[in-house]
Amino acid sequence: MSLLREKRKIAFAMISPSILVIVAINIFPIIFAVYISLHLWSFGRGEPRFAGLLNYEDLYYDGRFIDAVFTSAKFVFFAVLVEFLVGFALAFLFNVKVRGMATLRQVAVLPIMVMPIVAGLVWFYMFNENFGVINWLVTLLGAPKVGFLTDLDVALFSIVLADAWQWTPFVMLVMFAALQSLPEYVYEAAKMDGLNGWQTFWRVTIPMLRPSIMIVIILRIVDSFKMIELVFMMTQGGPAGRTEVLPWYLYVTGFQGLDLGYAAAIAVCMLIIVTIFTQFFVARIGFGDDQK
Amino acid sequence: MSEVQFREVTKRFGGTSVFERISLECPEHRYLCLLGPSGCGKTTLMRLVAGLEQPDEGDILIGGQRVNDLPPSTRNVGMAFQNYALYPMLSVRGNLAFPLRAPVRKRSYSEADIDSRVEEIAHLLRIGWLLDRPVTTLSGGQQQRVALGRALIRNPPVLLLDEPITHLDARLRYEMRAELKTLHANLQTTTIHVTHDQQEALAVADLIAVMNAGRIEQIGPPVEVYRYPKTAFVAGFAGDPPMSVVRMPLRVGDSGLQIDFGGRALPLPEKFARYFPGEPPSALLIGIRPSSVSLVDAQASNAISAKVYAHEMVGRELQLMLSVGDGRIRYRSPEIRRFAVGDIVACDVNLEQAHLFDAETGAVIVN
Amino acid sequence: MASMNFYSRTTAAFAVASVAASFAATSASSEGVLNGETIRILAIGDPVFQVMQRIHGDLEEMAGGTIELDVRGFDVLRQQVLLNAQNDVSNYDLVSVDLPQFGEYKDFLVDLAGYVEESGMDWEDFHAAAWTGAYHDQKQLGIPIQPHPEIFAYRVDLFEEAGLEPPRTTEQVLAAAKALHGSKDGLSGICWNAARGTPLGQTITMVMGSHGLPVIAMNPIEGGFDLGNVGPENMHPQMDSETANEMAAYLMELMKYSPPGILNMAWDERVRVFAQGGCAMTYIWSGRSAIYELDENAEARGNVSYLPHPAGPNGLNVSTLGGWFLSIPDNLPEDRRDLAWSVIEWMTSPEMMAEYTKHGNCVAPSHSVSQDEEVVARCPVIPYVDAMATSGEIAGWQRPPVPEIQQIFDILGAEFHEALAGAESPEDSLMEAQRQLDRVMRRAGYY
Repeated sequence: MSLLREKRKIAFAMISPSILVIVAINIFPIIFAVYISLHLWSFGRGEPRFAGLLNYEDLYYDGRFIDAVFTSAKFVFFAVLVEFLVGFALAFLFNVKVRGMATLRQVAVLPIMVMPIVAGLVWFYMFNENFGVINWLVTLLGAPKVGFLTDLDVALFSIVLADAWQWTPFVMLVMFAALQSLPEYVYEAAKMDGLNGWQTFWRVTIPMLRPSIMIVIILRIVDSFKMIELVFMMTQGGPAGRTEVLPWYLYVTGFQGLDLGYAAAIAVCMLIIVTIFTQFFVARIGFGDDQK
Repeated sequence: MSEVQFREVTKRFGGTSVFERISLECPEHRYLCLLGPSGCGKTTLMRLVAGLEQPDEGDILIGGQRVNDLPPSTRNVGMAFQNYALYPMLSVRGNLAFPLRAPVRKRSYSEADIDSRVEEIAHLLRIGWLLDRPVTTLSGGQQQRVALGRALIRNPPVLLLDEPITHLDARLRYEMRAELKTLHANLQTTTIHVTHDQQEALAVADLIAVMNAGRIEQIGPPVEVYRYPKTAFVAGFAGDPPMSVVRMPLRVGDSGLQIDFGGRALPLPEKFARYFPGEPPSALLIGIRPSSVSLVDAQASNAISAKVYAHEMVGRELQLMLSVGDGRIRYRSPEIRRFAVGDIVACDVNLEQAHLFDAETGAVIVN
Repeated sequence: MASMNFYSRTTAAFAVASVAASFAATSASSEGVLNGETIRILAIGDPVFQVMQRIHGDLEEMAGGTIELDVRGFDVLRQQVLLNAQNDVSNYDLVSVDLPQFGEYKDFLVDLAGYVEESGMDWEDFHAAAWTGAYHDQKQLGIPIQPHPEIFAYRVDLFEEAGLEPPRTTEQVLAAAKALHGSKDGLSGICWNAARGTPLGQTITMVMGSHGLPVIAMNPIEGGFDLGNVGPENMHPQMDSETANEMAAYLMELMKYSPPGILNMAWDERVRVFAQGGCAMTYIWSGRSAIYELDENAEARGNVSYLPHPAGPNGLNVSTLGGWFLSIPDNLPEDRRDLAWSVIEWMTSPEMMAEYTKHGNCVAPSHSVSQDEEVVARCPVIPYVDAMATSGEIAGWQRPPVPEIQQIFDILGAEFHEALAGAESPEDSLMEAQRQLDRVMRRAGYY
């Protein structure tokens, strides 16, 4: 027993540097954010003043913050939904062995390489009602101009579209890789069990892809939750706050308003929200229940 | 009735023919091993039974019924795949129950049926304690049992096993052979088992069909295949260890027929002479078991000069591969001596126990 | 926030894309103001500094030394100035300061009055509003390099065709807009900054100014409000005032005569739409008239006349001055200050201002340069601005120089966007803005 304890001690000593590094890199900024969020601190205007939970209390009564939470949720939901469904479908399409498919695949992933801020700029101009090519096409078809970035009911979906343009290829890529690695012989077993194509898809393919699906969804949720560039470039939260997602509100309060304590409180809330959501999916990466 | 029959079956992939007009029967309740080197068509043959491949010509019958047009799931066969083909996302229980829950069998089994059937099979294969483990965490042997269990879960009258124990380590393989045999004894399921391992085939099968290049060389009980190979190929492939088949010129000498065995003229034993009543062929394929080979003093009158081609220890025996003339013969000795590749040794071959095959066709002349 | 483009999307993207904002030294002769030395400037990505980037090689040759120009976007610049102020020793010899930022920076900047005196700088040549914009607490905290007002531009040709008077009041603006809106295919009445956030926030502060009140309760003085002395008692927001309601009503009316996409229109876009004939009038930062005056294909080129901000019912014709000054951080060591001053003196000299106009910066905050015929030929707007400056139609108080100015812009620009987009009544929007501004001031501890 004491030998075991001794071994444990050594083991702990061996890994402690890496634990320290992890704490320093991963945990410290979070702790610091929590610390700042408990203070009133406007950048350049003196030292932080301790304020307890004042920032959180203000957040609770801040309608703009609450709206931003729901706007973010809506954006993440639709963006991830579109990106996943289309990316998933494309992965299957690209999995077909046809000449030229490899080239098409390479072209299809180009949007990922574009800097998000440039993507935002491009989509801003494309959607623009005075210079935009999309509205030009719309009018060419004889339809009235669409306020892609100014219509209360449309703007958020324009941003979803831009986000999907950029990130669907990523989903496609991950799902394509996952499809490629599926064991073919399992499909013969499914054939022996009399599953038709559709049943095989739902009962065999999807469950086997589940870890990849969960991972890609987690990555997209986390990433789209943090999306700011498109809003920055395309709408700055307009019209009437319909595209004001949390990161943009955080930017406005923290980087424009320089109200760092308040911005930190928003950041902490964001962290809590995203953690809760992703844990739901993280729990489903691994081995799960059998289908009944 | 669950015998499996092939009638004049031809299968081609693209322009390449795997086999032409092959006929074969595995009677009910029998355990048939399809034995052959890789690429001989044995797996394709079995996949035709399963329905995973379609024949280009000819009929496949299970229990007397033509099944060519039936999908795999309604042929009443269970199949265990070479790579196990377990559903990686499911537990052992999920894998075993999967065939019972398949939509084609919707409502055939109640949940209670499924549970009891799974328990039963798990008990039979001694994997009850693994039921709730993910299959991806199992060892190869355990996965193999699950695959077998899944093939058996529906109590199929015909069981197909594709190289079922090839990927296991030697000790497990040995164990599993016995188990497969016991299982078969208990269940009496008509079984077709594909393997390239002649030891495995000899150990488990009621019937062995030796296949080579799309042809069935011989079908029969293991002892028969082992003792009385019908072709030189069977002689060289089956048996433990297999015979060495060497091609040697045949001459008419002063005292009758002689075999030019690596430069030394060996008289053809008297008992074989009657098989060559007329003009003798110019050469013979001679099957020699290791037990008919001995090392002798180099000065001995009957010594055949041979070169050590390879040597290894097999169990407690020394096994040598000797180059004689154009052929190679196997020698086994319980006496351990040190040899190096390239050493020249002297050996003697007892032709009394030799098997003779036609040098042109490979067909047996005398066993 | 003076000029219209620091938020421009193109600039922001470009600033991110090319980090190469500072330049390596080119061959430096030892003559000129720098005398072989190196000067470091923290600059804004606005026309005057973009011009400097463009002619960087020539500039260094003229200066006889190395000019390190770190060009930043607006938010980043502000953070860097504030961070730099906390250093023991400043990283920069000069920083660029926006007019409303003096309130926030005044404790970190060197008083330049002594240098002005000593060097005999002809300060009276600068527009008075520009010069006094940097005068806080009896200190001259910066020298104007690119201050220009947001003024009102209209298409003379279209107005004459329709027989309309130049609009000096909001009422006239609305009447003209109504008459011209849709009178030609693709022609709207008026372009302005209505995009959410800072653009709309600035519009509101300036239009409220031309209706007669600043957004916070500054002290009235002769001809305007006292921007040099803003105390805690002046921090009360005035969005609940009658003037705010008049301003709101005017903006709501403007919506009817605005081009498509007005809710997302800001900075350069309004000028570009105006340039191509998409609207008959526009609010415009005067320097940005270069966009069409220097573009031979622009429909508006040569057809534009300028007025100060049209006055509201109880307001006055007063345009808002904004834009950039050069200042010396007070943590710059003494031995660097003389050099820094001589660079300011050189960069803000009439010769250099005339030089900048050659490269697309239609700004000249000095009377002498405004009379330079070549300059006027390049930039027709300059004499208009000069005239407004002379007649006192330019002021800076509309955008109070308080540290919370950015939060004010943001709240006004976010809340009133609800009204413009029809998601909320103007009254509710103003009330909500008032409530939020009040909260900001309380959090900051003013009252």
